Amino acid sequence: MTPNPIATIRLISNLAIVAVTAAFVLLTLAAQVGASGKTGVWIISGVAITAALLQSAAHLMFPQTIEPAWDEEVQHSNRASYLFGYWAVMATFLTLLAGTWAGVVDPAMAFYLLAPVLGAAPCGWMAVAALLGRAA
Amino acid sequence: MHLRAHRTQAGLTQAQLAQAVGVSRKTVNTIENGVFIPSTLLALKLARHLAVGVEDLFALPGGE
Repeated sequence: MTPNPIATIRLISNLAIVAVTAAFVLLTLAAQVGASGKTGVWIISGVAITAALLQSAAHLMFPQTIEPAWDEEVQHSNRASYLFGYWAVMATFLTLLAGTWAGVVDPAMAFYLLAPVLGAAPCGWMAVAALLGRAA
Repeated sequence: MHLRAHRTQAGLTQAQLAQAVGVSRKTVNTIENGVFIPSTLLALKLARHLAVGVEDLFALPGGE
């Protein structure tokens, strides 16, 4: 855990987004409930928006810690997280496309599963980077 | 990497050096361990704060 409040809240936010997203996707797949529409959107978006608000508040409350919380190593990890997110979505898309063509994945469900990967992959990368000491 | 040696010689902790150059303590730690390669700008800041040259802090691998 880092003493920088902005970095701490960022880490907790990223872990929360990954946990909620992963739990929701696994629950959806395990229960075979299919795309649940707005329920998932509200849950995941609610966590993400809350995390964003908390991080914004932390930036306002602790302005003296912004610079070290966003130093060049963090920015490097942040850029890497988006690159990882891109390739994670590409890999998921191709996997689900193959599954759809093979008839084992419902096209609507495939599309539904792409968004959580897009949202959670960069957060997961940043969380791991922080836990490894490479993101403040 | 000779950053750790020069930092300890200057009597600074990682946190103190980090605060002086505007980065996190973990960034100083990863630089000292060779995990993260700093930008030229940060290398110059580190060198200036420790009152040494950049080449005193960093060297090419294998002494090239």
